[in-house]
Amino acid sequence: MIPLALIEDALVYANLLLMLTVGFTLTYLIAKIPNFAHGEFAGIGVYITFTVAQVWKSNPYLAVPLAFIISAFSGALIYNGVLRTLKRFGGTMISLTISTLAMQIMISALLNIYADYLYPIAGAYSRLFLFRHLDFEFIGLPGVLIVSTIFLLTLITFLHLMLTRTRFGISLRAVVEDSSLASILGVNVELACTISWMLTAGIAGVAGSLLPLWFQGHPYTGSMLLTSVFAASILGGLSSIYGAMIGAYIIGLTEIFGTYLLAQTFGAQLTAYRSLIPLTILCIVLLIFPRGITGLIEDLQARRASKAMVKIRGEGS
Amino acid sequence: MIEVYDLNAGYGKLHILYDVKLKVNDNEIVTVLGPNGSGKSTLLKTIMGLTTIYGGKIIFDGKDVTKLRPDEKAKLGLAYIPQIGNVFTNLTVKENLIMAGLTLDKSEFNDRLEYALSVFPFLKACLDRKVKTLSGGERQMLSMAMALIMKSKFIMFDEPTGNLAPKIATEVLNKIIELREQSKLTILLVEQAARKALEVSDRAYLLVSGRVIYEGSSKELLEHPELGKLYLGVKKL
Repeated sequence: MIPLALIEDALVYANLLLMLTVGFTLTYLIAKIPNFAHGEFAGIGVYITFTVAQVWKSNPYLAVPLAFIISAFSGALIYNGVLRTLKRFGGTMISLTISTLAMQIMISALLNIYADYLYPIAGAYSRLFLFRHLDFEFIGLPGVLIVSTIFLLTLITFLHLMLTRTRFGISLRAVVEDSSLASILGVNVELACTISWMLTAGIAGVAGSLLPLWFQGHPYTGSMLLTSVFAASILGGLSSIYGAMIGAYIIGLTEIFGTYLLAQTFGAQLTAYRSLIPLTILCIVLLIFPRGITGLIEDLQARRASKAMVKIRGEGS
Repeated sequence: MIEVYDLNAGYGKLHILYDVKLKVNDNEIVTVLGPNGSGKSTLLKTIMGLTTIYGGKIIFDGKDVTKLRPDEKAKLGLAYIPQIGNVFTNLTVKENLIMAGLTLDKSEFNDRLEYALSVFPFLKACLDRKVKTLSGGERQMLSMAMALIMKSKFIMFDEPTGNLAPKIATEVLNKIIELREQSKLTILLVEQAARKALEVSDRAYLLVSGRVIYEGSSKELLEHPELGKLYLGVKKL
């Protein structure tokens, strides 16, 4: 029998991972580089919640909009201040990717400094903190599970409608496919990229702000989450945000339930190796179906179409 | 309509165009011809703002547009239809047409969409189909329908008949003439099929190794004793 707390653990984690993975994949599709600093936007969210709850002594949920705004601003700053500048000076994809790694290290260091700065002000530990006691309960369910699920459903609906029904969303998909063609049709590609970076960084900030209500927060939260985000995005196929959603849920649930089962079988010391689960899935995907779930679905559709074509030709002759 | 003065351009440090001068008057069809690698496509890309400009000026409707971004030029009425990759294959036909009308308000877009669909009626039946399911000829027609929707006064076509069956290629060139006549557009055309292109255009430029070596009427170029034979594979009738 699986304990209820474990199911709650898994669902909250999968929800937060999905928010991060969708943003990571969308950024990759538009900017064509993996943003290694993406997890750090969640790290920013974690410390905004700490500031709101421990320094301002306010409701931790007030941190959610604040985390969105500050993380979105950080995303815009990284894109325009670092990536666009490097591109202007002829930066290659490799140098741009390495610059995001540098940004990840820098933000992580800044979060460490901020954590040390907060310790005497808050009068509480600013590392490895947990705010479950500040969360509310509704019909026996933790508030963070309800809030993250509602936010996620709203996010998925919003993204789907934006990408398929609005001119901006269609332009974004056009930029993903061919940014040069999109620009000659009137799309300001840099503005589209800036907005998408703001949006995805903001969503990651929200995920981070909800995290300390269920899991321990620390300055390395973002970088530790990155392994799972990376695995989920690659499992999804890196070419579709819908694939990313499926990938995130599979990785999120497998990581929590897998760790539990391994700990039950081999002992609690195995929980320290939890990140091996997404890494193992990542290796399997890259070896067996490198185009991920989206690739599998596309192959299946192509096979069906070709069978239908053969049937039509057969009937014709 | 458009004037190009002493244009020097290329890709990064790769210099392709040297001191190119070109002029296209209102409602004219002008063809740029030349052997492979002569810089024809680069010239169109440069006018649209997709390459590195080292020197020279591009004047459009009396305004210096040399340093403008492609999206800013599109808003002024310049359009460029690339040789390949001129439609978004992962979007539907309707979404491609919406992309073409980005610079228009809704009512103007609806009017132009209706007009484009009347010129290319086969598109009506496949508005919700992904473009990757269309044939090469159908995609080319879609790109021309997109050109009709764009708020453009000046359209540059880069080898619109490339890789098309002869019958479809003739149809495409006829549509280009229709565009000029019905929509009062000015057209700059880059073509490999020299004879056909010269037949539909008023004037022509011959580009060799990034330099203009001939400028004159299409008829004169068709009948030129040396140039036609040397560079265009055009045999004198």
